[in-house]
Amino acid sequence: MPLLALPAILSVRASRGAREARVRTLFSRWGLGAFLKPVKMGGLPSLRAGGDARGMDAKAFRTIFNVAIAAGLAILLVIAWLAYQAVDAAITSGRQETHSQEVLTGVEEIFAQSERAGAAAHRYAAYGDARSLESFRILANERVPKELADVVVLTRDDPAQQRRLDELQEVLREQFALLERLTMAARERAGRLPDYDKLGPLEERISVLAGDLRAQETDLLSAYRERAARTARDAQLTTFWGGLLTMLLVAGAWWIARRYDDERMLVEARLRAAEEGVRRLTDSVPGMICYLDRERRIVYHNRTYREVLGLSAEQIRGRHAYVVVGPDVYAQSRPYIDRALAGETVAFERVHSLPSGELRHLACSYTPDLDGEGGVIGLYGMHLDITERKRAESMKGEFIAQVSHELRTPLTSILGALEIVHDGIAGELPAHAARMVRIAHANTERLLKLVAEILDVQKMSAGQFEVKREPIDVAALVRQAVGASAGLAHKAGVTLVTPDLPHSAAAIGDADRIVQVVGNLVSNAVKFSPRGGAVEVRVELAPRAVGVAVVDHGEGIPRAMQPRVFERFLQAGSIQGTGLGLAISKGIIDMMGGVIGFESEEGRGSKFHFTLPRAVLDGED
Amino acid sequence: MPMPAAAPPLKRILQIDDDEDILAVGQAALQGYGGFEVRIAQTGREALEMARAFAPQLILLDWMMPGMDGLATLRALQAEPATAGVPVVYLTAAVSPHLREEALAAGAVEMLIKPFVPRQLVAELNQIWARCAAAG
Repeated sequence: MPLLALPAILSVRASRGAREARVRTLFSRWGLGAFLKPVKMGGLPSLRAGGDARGMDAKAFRTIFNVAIAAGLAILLVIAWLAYQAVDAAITSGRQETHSQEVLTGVEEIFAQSERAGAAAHRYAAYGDARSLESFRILANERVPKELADVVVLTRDDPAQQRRLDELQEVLREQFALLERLTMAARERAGRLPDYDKLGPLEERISVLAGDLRAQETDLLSAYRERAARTARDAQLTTFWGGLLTMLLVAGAWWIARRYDDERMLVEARLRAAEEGVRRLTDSVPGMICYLDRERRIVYHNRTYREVLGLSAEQIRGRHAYVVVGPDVYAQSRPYIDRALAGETVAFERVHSLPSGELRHLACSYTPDLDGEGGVIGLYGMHLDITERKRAESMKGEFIAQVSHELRTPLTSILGALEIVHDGIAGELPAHAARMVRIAHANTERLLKLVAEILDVQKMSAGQFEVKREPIDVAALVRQAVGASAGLAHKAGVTLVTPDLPHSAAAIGDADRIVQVVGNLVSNAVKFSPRGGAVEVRVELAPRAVGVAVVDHGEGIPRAMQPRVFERFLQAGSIQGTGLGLAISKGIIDMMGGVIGFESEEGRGSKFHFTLPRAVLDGED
Repeated sequence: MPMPAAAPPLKRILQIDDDEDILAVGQAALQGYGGFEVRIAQTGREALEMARAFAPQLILLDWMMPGMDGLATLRALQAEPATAGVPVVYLTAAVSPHLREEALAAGAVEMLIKPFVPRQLVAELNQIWARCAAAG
């Protein structure tokens, strides 16, 4: 994902402002406030923020949109089913009408043909022509039965009509039989025709039956017509309202989609605004800020970064750090980049050469950027220009060095003069005066030691403190340091012992500085020992190191003070001293590649110890 | 270090320092503890003149001096036939790093740091003298 690609979004923000407000009002009025959840950002918006902020809104939107579309589709389905029903009813109704017409026609035909048959029979009876007889017989025996059979078939689903047709058939057969007898009597010239008076009621009965048949069919027909009309009306109503509802649903879905789009634009605009905020914030920082991804591409940087490097944003963005800063700087920074990408927060200083050739001192820190699971996905780089601070520190250092020199010169004269006087070189002193001179001498030495310690501390903090790394005999140096402290111990009533001191202990280090460290530790041990107590100084040989331990049985170090023992100017109670001794001792041992530490129990005493690399095995210079 | 029989013991020392008190204490110490014959000079120029007549066996020289400083004085002493071969020992309160290397590179035989303990100074100068004599 491209991080913080920054188009000019200010104009976009201005024109969107009014629309955002309108959308917000609408949403809250419609109870859709959930769509307008503020974008969640803890403190500074993450440089990689982008998609997750609107995830929930998109889900709600999709649910509502899908429900609306599904409801619309369901309504359309109902409408389609009803329309099918209406059309089906119309078709059925039409078919029924045709059927009823056929039945009615059939009944008319039967009725008409039975009358024609009667007429033909009467004609034959009156005139005796064979053609009329023939016509009667065809009508009575073929046409009418056939027509009757057709109508029976047509109305086979209607039991009432079937019953009427059965009766009609019976009556017709009776009529035709009567007419047959009539024709036979006429041929034989039998005078008055037998059963002639029976014809009248039969014809009347036929007429009634035909009327019933017709009435039944007409009733059926109108019932079908009514049903078809009702179905059509239902379909019409359903289509109208369903269509309307579907249109509303689709319109609603469209509306929501549009609002969602608005909201998304709003969220995006807000994200861009947040990015712009980060941009402006980082641009206002006088330090160089950058963000490297896992592939060591510089995906984000601030104004100071490109100004110091003298590059344009295009020459930096997305490019590998090696390409941007050049091989020399990259080689210096690479170990720290490696460590930061391995999850470690690192800080270091380096000198940076500006394009103008000017040298600047930079304090750099790399902080790993972790994803949710603790994996490193990049690093935040911060480079502060501390050139001025370094200059001030250096001036301070020079000042201290100068002051120290100016202090040492008169102290040299005082100390030398006192020593000469004390030693009687300048003549014998009265005992009382000699004591005063001793006091002056001891205090001058204290003053000199203080000046030396201040100078040591200054050199250490300026990185100018140097120790030699040459073969030394630690045992001899311990003997020398213990010897130098004998006076102090004697004065404090403390016994100095060196049990099992090896004849020699070869190590690598700076002889003068080791004497200084042992002297510091012994003088501390003496200071904190009770009168009559003992201080042990031990030297131990290990395969790769020489260890020195100074043990006292004094008051020990209060637990609360223990973590700060090697800090500068820490001093216990009213004990005399600068509080610099242990800080300097630690600096010295660290620089020699050794380790210094202590164990202490309040009321039981302390044990300070340090190690130095052994000369025989390491063979270092 | 055993001294060769031919080498004369250290006797005459010239001390150069811009600080009068240092010179006074130094002279008293070197005479009182070592029994040396000591001449003192406050500037390099003064020292050069004095050296011609005095012919010192060893010269104690301050590093930081106004005008002609310790380094310039050393060069001048080396250029002067009367003192060209005389070992020069710096005695300074200056404590800048690499100062000792600089001094030795310039041709001094040792650099001692102020403040000095009078008795120790005498002992150290005797050791240096013996070393120089052994080296020829």
